[in-house]
Amino acid sequence: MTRRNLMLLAVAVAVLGAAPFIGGNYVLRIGTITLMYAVVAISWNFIGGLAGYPSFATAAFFGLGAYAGAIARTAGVPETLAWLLAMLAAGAFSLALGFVILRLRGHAFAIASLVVIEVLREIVTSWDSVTGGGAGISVPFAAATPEAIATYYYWSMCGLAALAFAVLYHVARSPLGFGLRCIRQNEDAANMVGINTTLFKTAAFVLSGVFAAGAGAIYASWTSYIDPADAFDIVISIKAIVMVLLGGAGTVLGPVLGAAAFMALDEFAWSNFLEVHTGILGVLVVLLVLFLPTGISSFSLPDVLRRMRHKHGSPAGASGR
Amino acid sequence: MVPLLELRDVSCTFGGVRAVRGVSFRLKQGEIVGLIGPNGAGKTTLVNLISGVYAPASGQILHRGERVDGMKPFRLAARGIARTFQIVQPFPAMTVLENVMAASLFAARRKGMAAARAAAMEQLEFTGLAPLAHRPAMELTLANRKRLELAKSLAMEPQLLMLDEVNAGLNSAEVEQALELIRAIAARGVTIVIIEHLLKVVMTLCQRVVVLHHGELIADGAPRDVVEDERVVSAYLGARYAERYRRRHA
Repeated sequence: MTRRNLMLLAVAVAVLGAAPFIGGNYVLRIGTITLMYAVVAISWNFIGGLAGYPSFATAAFFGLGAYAGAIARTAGVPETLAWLLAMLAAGAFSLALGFVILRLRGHAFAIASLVVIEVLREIVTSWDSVTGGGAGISVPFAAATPEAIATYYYWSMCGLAALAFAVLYHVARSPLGFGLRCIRQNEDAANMVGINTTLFKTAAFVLSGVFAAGAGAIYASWTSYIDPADAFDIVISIKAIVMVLLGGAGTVLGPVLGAAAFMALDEFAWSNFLEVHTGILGVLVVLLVLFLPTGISSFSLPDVLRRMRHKHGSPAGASGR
Repeated sequence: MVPLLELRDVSCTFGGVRAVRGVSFRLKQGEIVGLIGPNGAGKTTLVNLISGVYAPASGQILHRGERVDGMKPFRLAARGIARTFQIVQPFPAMTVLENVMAASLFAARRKGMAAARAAAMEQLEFTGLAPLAHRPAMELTLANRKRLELAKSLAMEPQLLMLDEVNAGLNSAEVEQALELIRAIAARGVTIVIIEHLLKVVMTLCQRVVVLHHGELIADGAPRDVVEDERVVSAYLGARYAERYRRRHA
């Protein structure tokens, strides 16, 4: 890890650690949502960033995790165990699903993964006896003060985010991550140099499923009520993709930086331009992607200064990272 | 002795087209075999069959006496069957070193990234690409990209290396360098199958030549005998070349 990244990590830890003490419930709420999206973005980064497969299944995994966790909780399973069960269920689901749809590439894969959200939402909506159908499902919650509950779920989401980040950090440096980057570049050539592409892609898809489901399960416990439209919301898939592209696809810091930047922009747009905040947010995201095409994580001040100095020189600098 | 590779009556069809028809031959350990024939004769298809890109419609492929037809490319790569592509297939945004590392790490099963990096560096030294190790593969010239293909397949630590037109598009000085490299690889004991249109290369490099025409094997023998073969002359070489060759070697 470079010194810059170590410093970023130290700042992140300090901010995350201080938030519950300095901010009120509003800050905790924003913090929990940001951490949730960090997990979802990291989840997408495994399949979309590293392996280059444009998955829209993130919301399907998130919703599956939310419902599996909620159903386990109503059946009396302890909370942490319910979350683990939800992650396990999504792991098994993504394994089976990956086996089928990872044969597709490009647009076909994207569409297939998109359809999964709709199918799961339909199933959950129709399966009244287990899921509560379209009316949603209430999740039992502990008898405690709102502050204590907010703090508890903040730290839970923080723990999951730390775990997801640690796994991503490790995978990106391992042969698995290296093989996935090869697949993203040229899948046939990857197969030819001895990479079991099916196995590698499936591993990435399962990692994606497990973490998105974990975020969904904690979310369900935190809000204590979910319904199909909320849990299987395609916006979750899209936000994950935008955040990762914003932060830097396939990088370790990208998803977290992207999630933080997106949420900060969202807050800024929402509090300053209430009426048109989604429009303003869209423009800001487009500007960022235009001017930092490889993501925030690749931002380097010396590079920018050099480029500005050689503004009228050779265009070669523009192709560098 | 069990041959390194044996094809028994291998056929491959695409829709109604029979690209390879009932081809049988054997490769001995350490041979350099030329695979020649006119365009569309099925040479690349044969390489694709052996390296697992396609499964044969009928027939058997045996590697060291074991059936390998229908195996996935990554399994064959791990067994030591490597090939280069006529149209080079690098990982464009990765560095030259990373490209070769992938082969060391996965096909040659080097344990860990550091070991793979060291093994890859050796192949870069061998192929003369070491000074370009940290450049992205997409910045290389065509000659160097062909070299990178070679370095990649060498890093797979193959027993059998199939070279699909590694000299196409190179100038004569670059061809000379490439030939030197191929000889050095053969000297390591690697069995080589080379698809080549430059007959001079085939004649000087190969101990044996296999000729394909319309997917059929029409000749298999020493280069000198093959150029005398009437079917080869009419299908591929042309009478003029055969005459010239005969006069020069008379």
